[in-house]
Amino acid sequence: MSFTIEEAVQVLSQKFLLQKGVVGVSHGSKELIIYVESEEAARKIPRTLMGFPTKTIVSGKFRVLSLPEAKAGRTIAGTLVNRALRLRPIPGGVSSGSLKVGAGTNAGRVIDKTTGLKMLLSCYHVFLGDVGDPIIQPGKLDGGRYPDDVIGYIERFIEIKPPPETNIIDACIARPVSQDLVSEEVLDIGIVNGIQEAKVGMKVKKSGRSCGLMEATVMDTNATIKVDGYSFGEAIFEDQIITSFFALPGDSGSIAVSADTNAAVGMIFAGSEVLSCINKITNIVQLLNIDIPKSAAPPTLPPTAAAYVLMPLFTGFLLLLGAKTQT
Amino acid sequence: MTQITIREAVIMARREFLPIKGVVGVSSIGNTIIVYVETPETASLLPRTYYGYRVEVRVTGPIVTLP
Repeated sequence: MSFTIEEAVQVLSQKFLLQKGVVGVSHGSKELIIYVESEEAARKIPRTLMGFPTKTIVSGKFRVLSLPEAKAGRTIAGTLVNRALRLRPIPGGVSSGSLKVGAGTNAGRVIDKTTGLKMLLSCYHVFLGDVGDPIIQPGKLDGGRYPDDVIGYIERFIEIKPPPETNIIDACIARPVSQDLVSEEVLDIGIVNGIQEAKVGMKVKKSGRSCGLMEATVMDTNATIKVDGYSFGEAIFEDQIITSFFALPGDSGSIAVSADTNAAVGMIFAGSEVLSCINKITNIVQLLNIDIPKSAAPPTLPPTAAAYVLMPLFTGFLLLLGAKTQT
Repeated sequence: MTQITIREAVIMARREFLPIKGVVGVSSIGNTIIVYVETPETASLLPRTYYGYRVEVRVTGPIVTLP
């Protein structure tokens, strides 16, 4: 009695997947493919099974790819908050997403230049959907639910195109359900102070759902890169910033700011084990027709740094006062 | 032969190198062409210079979205 290769896979799946060390069964055009955890498990697989040659692939254990646990972040007022919790008003740097994704990061408040209204910014692969689709905070994998946690609806985005076409940004804005719902601050960063071009060697920091606050160095400012993870596979992006590693899954949508000026230089959207990739903020504001205004207040400084700046000024003021009093 | 500019060389390098499996990015810094690759093996497929410009290879691993 002979079997087709598909029938052989069905039979062997029931038998082999119960066997310790075997993690998958499949087939090529003329051979059976057995995925195993280790070389030791591979040695136990016969060279032929049910009349078909076998090919063994040592794949290790398959695991569900889950998001890392969210990092806590600090507000300007000094309160420590969990980025994966429901937060109102909504600061930048916290878990968010559409109903089609697990969770990414809400970059923060931007201004729609066509209406003057506050909008929420993130990557399109985080705020994924059609115009009018709901956005929730926290994201679905962090427990956000429809309709209780809806914070806004998709307003505008730039469609990601497959090769050979190229892309510049992976970005989307959502109109909040209420203008009062949007906080001006980004956790651990404070208020973003306008926009600025990135330069090679510049120190940048970002505040994201998964890694929290991290700093990196700009390595490249005009890269063309292939990025995997879209519904159609790889997409090509031009005019990108590359930095040293500072983002994990769940950090897409984090705003990256200059460590010196707190001005936005871009938004994190991709990365590898050793580097992170950022859409330029100049391209985002132009293509989405939005603005990130300069902050009226100076960039937030931690109390110790503020003391270092203010103390000499205060001392100088006292000396001046003393000098005037003497004359 | 007229020397092409680094900008022109990068445009040509993108067309030539990006279709290679394992090449994930092309850029330039100063007068050096930067090629990002997934593994060190891919580096052997790339020239050391391209139209007279030095080629620097950086191994990054695959680049993926971070949702």
